[in-house]
Amino acid sequence: MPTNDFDQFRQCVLATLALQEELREIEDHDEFIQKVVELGGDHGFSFNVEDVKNAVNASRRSWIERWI
Amino acid sequence: MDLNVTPKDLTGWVPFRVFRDGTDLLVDWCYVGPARFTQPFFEDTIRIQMRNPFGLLFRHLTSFQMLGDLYKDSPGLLPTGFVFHLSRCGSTLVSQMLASLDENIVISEAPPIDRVIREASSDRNLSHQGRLSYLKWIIGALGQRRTGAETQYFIKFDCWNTLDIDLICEAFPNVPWIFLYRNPVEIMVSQMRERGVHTIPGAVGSIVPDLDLAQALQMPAEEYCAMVLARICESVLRFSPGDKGMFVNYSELPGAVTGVIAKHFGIEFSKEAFEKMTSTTKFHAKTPQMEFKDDSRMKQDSANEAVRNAAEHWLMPFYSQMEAVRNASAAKA
Repeated sequence: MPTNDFDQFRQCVLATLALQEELREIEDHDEFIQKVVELGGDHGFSFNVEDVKNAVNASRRSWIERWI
Repeated sequence: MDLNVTPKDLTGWVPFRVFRDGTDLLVDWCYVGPARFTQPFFEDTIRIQMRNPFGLLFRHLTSFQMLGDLYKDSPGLLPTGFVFHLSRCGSTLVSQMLASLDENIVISEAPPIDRVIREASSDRNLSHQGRLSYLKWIIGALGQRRTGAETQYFIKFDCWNTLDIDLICEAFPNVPWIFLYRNPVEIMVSQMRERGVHTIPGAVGSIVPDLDLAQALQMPAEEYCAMVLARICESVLRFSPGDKGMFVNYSELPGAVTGVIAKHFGIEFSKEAFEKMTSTTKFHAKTPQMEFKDDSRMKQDSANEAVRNAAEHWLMPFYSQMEAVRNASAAKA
C-alpha cells in the first residue's frame, strides 16, 4: 500500500487518465518534476521536488537493476 | 501492486517485464502510447521510452492474471507469422524489414515473451491448457493495436525459444513460421567474436541436457556453442511442421523477405512497401548506422580449426538436413 504522499499521488496518477495526459508529453526532467509537485499540491498531496527526485532515482535504479 | 487496474486502464501500456516476487508472478508495464517497435530489439524501444520522465516514474505493476483479463477484453492481433532462428543468420534483418512498415507490429526477442515461455514450459503446477493460455496472453498483450494502422503482427523469438517450438505452435496452430539458419561455420565465427547469451554456460538455463554447469564451463567455448546450436537444430527438425513451417537459409536474404517468406506468411506488399523494405536492407540490421554487407566469405576465411571441427562434428549433419528440407519444399512449390 502507498506509504507516503508521493506514493499515494503516484497511485492517483495511475488511476486518472487526465493526470497522465498532463504529464506524458513533458520531456524535460526538471519541468516534469515541477509539474508533478504542482499537480500533487492541487490534489491535496504534500511532497516536494526532493521527494520526486528521490522517486525518479529509485525508479531509474530499479530499471537498471531489473535483470539482477 | 496496482490492485484497481482494469484492462481498459492499460490502453497504450506494454508489459515489458514478467518476474517472480516470491511465489507471485508479476508484470511491469510501461506507457508507450502510439510509439512503434522499430528498433532492432524490443528492449531498445522500451529503453527509449524510459528516457521519458513519465515512463520512468509511472509504471503499472499488476498480477500475471491481468494479462488473462486483458486477453478476454482485447485479445490483440492474431500473429501473422513467427520467426525462429539459429542466431547470427539474418533474423534481425528480416524483422527490421518488416518493422519498416506502419501496418506491421514487429516484436523482436522480447524478454517478457521469453520469460513466459520458460514459465510455461517449466512450471509443474500449471496444466497444459494453462501453459497454452500463458503464451496466448503475453503474445496478445504485445499485439495490441496502438496507432490504428496495424493489420499484421510478427514475432521474432529468442533463438533458444525454438526448444519450445512445439508448445508455441500448439498455442497458435494456424500461424505460419519460418526457421532461419546459416552455414554453421559462419554462425560460429560470429559467436566466437561476440558470444550470444545462449552460448555462455548457465546464462539461459540448461539448454544442453545431460550436461551440468561444471562440465559446460570446462569445455572449449567452440564445443559448447556448437552443442547449443545443435540442440536448437534438433528441436526444429524433430518438430513436425506440416505446411506451417518453412526453412530459410541466410543466403536467400534479403530477397526472401518480399518473396518466399511473404508468400509463406500469406502477405502481399505494395510497390511502395517493397521499396521501403528494400531500403532497410542497405544498412546493418543491428547497427543501422553501418552499411549491410554479406560477410559470408570473410567469416569462412577467418574460421580457425576449433571452429571448423566443432561445426563439422555437431552442426553440419543438421545443416544438411535443413538444406534437404528447404530444397524439397522449393521443388514442391
